[in-house]
Amino acid sequence: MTEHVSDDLELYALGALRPGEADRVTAHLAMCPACREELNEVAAVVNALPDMVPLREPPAGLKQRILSAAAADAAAARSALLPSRERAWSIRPTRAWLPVGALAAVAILLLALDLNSLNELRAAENQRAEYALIADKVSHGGRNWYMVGLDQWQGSGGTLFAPGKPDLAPFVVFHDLRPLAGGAMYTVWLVDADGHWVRGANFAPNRDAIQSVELSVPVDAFAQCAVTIEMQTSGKRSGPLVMQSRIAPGP
Amino acid sequence: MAPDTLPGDDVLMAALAAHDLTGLSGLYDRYGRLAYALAYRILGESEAAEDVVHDAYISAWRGAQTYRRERGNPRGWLLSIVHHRAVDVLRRKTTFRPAPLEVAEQKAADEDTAAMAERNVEQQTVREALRNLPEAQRRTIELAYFGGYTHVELAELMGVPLGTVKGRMRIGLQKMRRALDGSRS
Repeated sequence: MTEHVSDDLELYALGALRPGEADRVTAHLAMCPACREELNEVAAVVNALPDMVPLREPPAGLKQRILSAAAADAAAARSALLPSRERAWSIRPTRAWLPVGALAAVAILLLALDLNSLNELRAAENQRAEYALIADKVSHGGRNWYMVGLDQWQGSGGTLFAPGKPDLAPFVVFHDLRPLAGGAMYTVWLVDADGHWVRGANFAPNRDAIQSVELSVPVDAFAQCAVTIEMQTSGKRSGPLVMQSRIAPGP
Repeated sequence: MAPDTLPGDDVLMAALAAHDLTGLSGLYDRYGRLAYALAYRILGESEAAEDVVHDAYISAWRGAQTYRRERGNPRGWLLSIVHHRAVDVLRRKTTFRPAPLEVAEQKAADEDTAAMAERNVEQQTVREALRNLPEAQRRTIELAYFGGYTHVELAELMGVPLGTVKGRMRIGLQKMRRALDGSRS
């Protein structure tokens, strides 16, 4: 077992350790009943500190927003438990590799602006209008960011493209999206540096291995992009987070 | 539902762990105002506080099965989630963080009388216990807990060694604990 952490428990309980330091204490506490007991005593005092704060009435819609999000979360969990034959990401295992290859080719294209790669991509996927459209959009250059599926959505992903041609809207190319149950939908969000979430698109998964979704909001003013599962087509974010990525500032 | 007509916390936690929305609803009715007040106190803006409380309750919804009663009561568990999330948001902001003591005093003056009257004796005891600490200890605890400052930042901000910061926290919390124990006995 690692060295006892008694000296750091006040800092830990008050949240005053730096992340790496707190991780070390957390790891020790998991193995040490004596330090856990000591922490409980400190935490009992720290947990009384919120009583210092004047009570404040939350916004009227917050409770409903939380309950809706929890319901959507439960719906998403049920979707994840659907039999494998109903999951788009697993019923066509060979097709599932196609978007990965296409995205890799697109990424290489954006880095090198290699028109030969673009032509190869078009030739390989010319039977799919979706791929051709995507290839056309990215042929103008631009920037892109990959969002990786989190938690039970691992295996899904999406690449946000900000095309280099000004009149083209930003769009996301998703792969291996899971079907949704109970009227839920995917929502693409853009998040600014102050943590404000702006809805960019709502969509239902089409069960294809790859799906392109256009956003109604330019990405330039934002620091992150994310996808959640929502029950409402408007309003604030309330559903579980499916995937997320930072958006690097433009040149 | 009025908080005093709700089932006990342990019943609500059991419902939460079973993914029963009534558990989540009950915990919100009981602690939602306090959770929001804490988040607002740390972040100083309503929209960010709302998002923090939302995320904290959803985190509780997802993580209720990992909750262990022997490691603290549901109130402390829930508020610690709110606190961690609020401090995370605060630390990601690049804007200047005001000294929490000054903000607290400003906001305390704004509290309405009816809300104050609802606070029970123990809550008043906490306020008194903190206010009765020597200023350096009180300020260190407040800056850490409500201001999101790390001990390294506090040492720099207050111009004292790291050991002094740690000592002020330890002694201050010990005094508060004695005051709280005294009020309960």
